Amino acid sequence: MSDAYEGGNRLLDCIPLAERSVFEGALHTASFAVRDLAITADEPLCRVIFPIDCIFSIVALLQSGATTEVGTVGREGFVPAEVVSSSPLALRSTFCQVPGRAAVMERTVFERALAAGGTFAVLVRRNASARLFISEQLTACNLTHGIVQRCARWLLMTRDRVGSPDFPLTHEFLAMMLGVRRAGVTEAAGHLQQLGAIRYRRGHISLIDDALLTDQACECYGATNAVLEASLDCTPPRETVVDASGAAGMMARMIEHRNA
Amino acid sequence: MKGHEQRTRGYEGGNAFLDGLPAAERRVLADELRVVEIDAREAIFNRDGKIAEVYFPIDALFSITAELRREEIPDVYEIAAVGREGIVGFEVALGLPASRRFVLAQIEGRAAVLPSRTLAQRAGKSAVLLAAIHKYVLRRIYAGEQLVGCAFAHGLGRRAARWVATIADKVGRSEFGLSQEFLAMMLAVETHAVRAALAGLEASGAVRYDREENLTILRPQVLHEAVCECYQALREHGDLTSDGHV
Repeated sequence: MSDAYEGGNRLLDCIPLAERSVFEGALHTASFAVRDLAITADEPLCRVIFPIDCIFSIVALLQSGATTEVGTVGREGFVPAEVVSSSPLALRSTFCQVPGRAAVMERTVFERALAAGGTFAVLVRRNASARLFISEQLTACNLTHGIVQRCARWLLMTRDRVGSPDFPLTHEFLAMMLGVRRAGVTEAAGHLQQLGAIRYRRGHISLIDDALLTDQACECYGATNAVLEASLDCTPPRETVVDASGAAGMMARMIEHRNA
Repeated sequence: MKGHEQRTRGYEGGNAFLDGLPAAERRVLADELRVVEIDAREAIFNRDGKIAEVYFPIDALFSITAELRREEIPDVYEIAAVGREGIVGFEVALGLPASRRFVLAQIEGRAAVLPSRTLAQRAGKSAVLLAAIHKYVLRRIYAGEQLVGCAFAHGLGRRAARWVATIADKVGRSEFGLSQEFLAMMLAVETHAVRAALAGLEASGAVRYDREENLTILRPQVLHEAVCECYQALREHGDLTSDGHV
């Protein structure tokens, strides 16, 4: 089933109408179900997917045979990131984790739009920079923050990516996201439910109290959200005036703490 | 940064990103590139600080950090290391004038420095340069995402070995200063756990680690057997390659 694209992907919707002619006719909407394999590692990379209200999960296959989720993309971006490089093959597999619709574009169209420059190229580059920020942030986050904090952070990020406070979510997926066993997920989600921050029933999540959930989430939600929002802001970035002098204090703090 | 001025000279190669650019592109940048000596722990960019100059490490190692709270106690964690394969401050070429991260030098050595205005202007004119930078960013994303999975899947010993092998590739030397404090930042553990991991590598004969915190790789093969699988993944698609070229 496929229809013409009528909006919903935030990156595409940031592009001025006058600049859309490069891809407009070549964009169609497709539906994805949970566990649909959208992109397969080591296979030719021929299409680019811009989620509207679904979520894609980028996974790494480990030697043990386990797959670990290493990135998530929703309506703020597109998959796969490597389409921008000259790589003919996909580097990682990408699954649908939250079902819904996405706009799909042939790779050749994407490359033409990128070569045309303009807002599309700027947004694609900013998106790469934001994804880098997020992945590097989450590396440290997973080593540092507790499961309840990370669970709350992840639910808020997912809410932003699907554009709704209600979404279907399997235990299995949440466990993979948080790198814990399912029992750990039950405990963390149960805690958030008891507080009244969320409702989790039969594989469906509802965010009830934003302030409460944000309170429970680690600082990484705010940090990554700010970078993502900035990546979709087309106005020229402000010049900042902070100099490196503040760094000295941070160094001192770091050394003091490590030696404590 | 101040203090480099009296020690500068022209760039004669050594950064794989620059050396991998087409000759014409390299020549354009060469006039404004100068080589500086960087000291360990030198602050390079503050968080949200202006990127005045872009660094192309030659045999120095730069640490990209995030300040996070663990149980309400703030601490600095290393989230990426940039050596001779990369660029520190590439953001300016993507239209971002400030660094989102606190960046400091981890291992002393040389780096080529370019005014950020030059890189931004050149990237605006040269599709080749912009594509090379974008490719580098994609390799960093691959590496960052790999390490998200690695933190879940692999034990401290293998992750420590992977970092040691990674650093050697990034500085292009088998002997370098490696403070326990930095390794603790990379592994997000306390220094005593780092000491245990290093002792394990020493016992296997892979490395020697002396009191001055200098690490020497004695048997690379033994080290490479101790690393987690992510080391190979980073060489293939991440910000590492066997010859230093990305």
